[in-house]
Amino acid sequence: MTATLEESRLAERKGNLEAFLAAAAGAEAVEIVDACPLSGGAIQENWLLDLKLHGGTLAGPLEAVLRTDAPSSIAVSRSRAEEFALLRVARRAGVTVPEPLWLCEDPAVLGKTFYVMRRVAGTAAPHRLMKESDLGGDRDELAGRLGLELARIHSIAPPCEELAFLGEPSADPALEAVARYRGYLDTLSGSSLALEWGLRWCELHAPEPQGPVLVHQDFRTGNYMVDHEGLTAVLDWEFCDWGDPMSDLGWFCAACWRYSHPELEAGGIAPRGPFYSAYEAVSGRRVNPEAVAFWEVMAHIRWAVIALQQGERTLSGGEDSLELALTGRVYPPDVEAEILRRTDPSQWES
Amino acid sequence: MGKMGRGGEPNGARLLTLARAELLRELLPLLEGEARYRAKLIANAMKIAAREMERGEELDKRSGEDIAAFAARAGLEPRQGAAEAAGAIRNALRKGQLDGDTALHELLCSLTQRRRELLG
Repeated sequence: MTATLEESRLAERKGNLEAFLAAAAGAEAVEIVDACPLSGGAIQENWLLDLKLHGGTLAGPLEAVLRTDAPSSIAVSRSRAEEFALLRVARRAGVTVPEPLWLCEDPAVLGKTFYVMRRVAGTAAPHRLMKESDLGGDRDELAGRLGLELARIHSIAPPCEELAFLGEPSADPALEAVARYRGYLDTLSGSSLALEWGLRWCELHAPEPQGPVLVHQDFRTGNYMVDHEGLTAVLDWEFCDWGDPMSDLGWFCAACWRYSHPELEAGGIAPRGPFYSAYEAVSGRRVNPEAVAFWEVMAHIRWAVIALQQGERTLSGGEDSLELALTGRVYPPDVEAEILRRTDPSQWES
Repeated sequence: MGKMGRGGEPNGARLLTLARAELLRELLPLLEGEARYRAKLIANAMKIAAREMERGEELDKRSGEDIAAFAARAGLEPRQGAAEAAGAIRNALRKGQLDGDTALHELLCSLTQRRRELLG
């Protein structure tokens, strides 16, 4: 056991956790050989676990990730139990996700709900994808693979008993988003006029709704893992909902998620062509560039609202986080400039 | 008062600028990984704070005047006070009274640009 585990919050619960894991895995015993906290993720708390299973169908060493709520959670995020259900449904639909293993909703074990999934190799770090051109394999192929993965996510449609917690789908996700973001802005002090301008444009230019299907709502570079061969996992399922499939394409292609490669319009990794072609081939749904362009404007509004909410957590929320404060201060002006550029007066005529 | 202080007393912006330079020059090379990332965040916050101390008031004042002037020209009520005028513009936007308005778009671009200037 490393010093990390001995000193960690997991240490005093180690026995509880091992007993739970053994029962869940149908093993005679499970040994936690090592545990290491993963940084990152403003919302969740993640641990890398090296396990040794004695007996049962998974006998032997097992590299896993344990995911639980962090002390600071936000209301819009799905619970761990819901995320576990989403992973299972996505995996059945053929989406490349870390294999969800066991869910524990008994607070006696760790004090809060958590689940364990099989660890996936690779990295999700955008700055590495931007700099290391050999990471992720051939980039056009990677974009195509991501188009395929997104199409498989969008093959999941309501009604779905296992995802009943998502509630009823909205009849018009675009107009509902306009109302929701206006509501968020109303909770902040001051007026974000550039965002108001963008929202009014969205209200007037909303495309005919498609779907409803399962939308990931954070499908972008930074939230999938790659190794040197290609994709290894689609991550970050906590914002899923029923919605318009084109919203996920807009989020993926939005300029704010292209990092240092704005010219590569599919997530900063490739042109749109391979991403769209694979998506169309697998989904059987035609990509309407105008609808995606609309959702890219909405993506920027959504990102600006999220950034402002993060900043607000350090003001009225009283959280002393420099990272959150800078997010609220640094991103909105650039994002607003992009919104204004995409909705200049000539774009209001049609 | 001088731009950086007076009577031999450097002002806050000058102190922040020097502190940031020393952080980047002396400490950053000694750091790696998460600590290096944190130091860069701190340096960025110091840069923005220093710029705001130097130019924030002036840019805010200009923006406030521009917002109030636009509200007055557009015949919106209330048109006095930047916050009230901004609220009136927001309400008019939501009601569809300023759809695609060229002058408003220009104003919003310049307000955004001023905020970006403080970020460097």
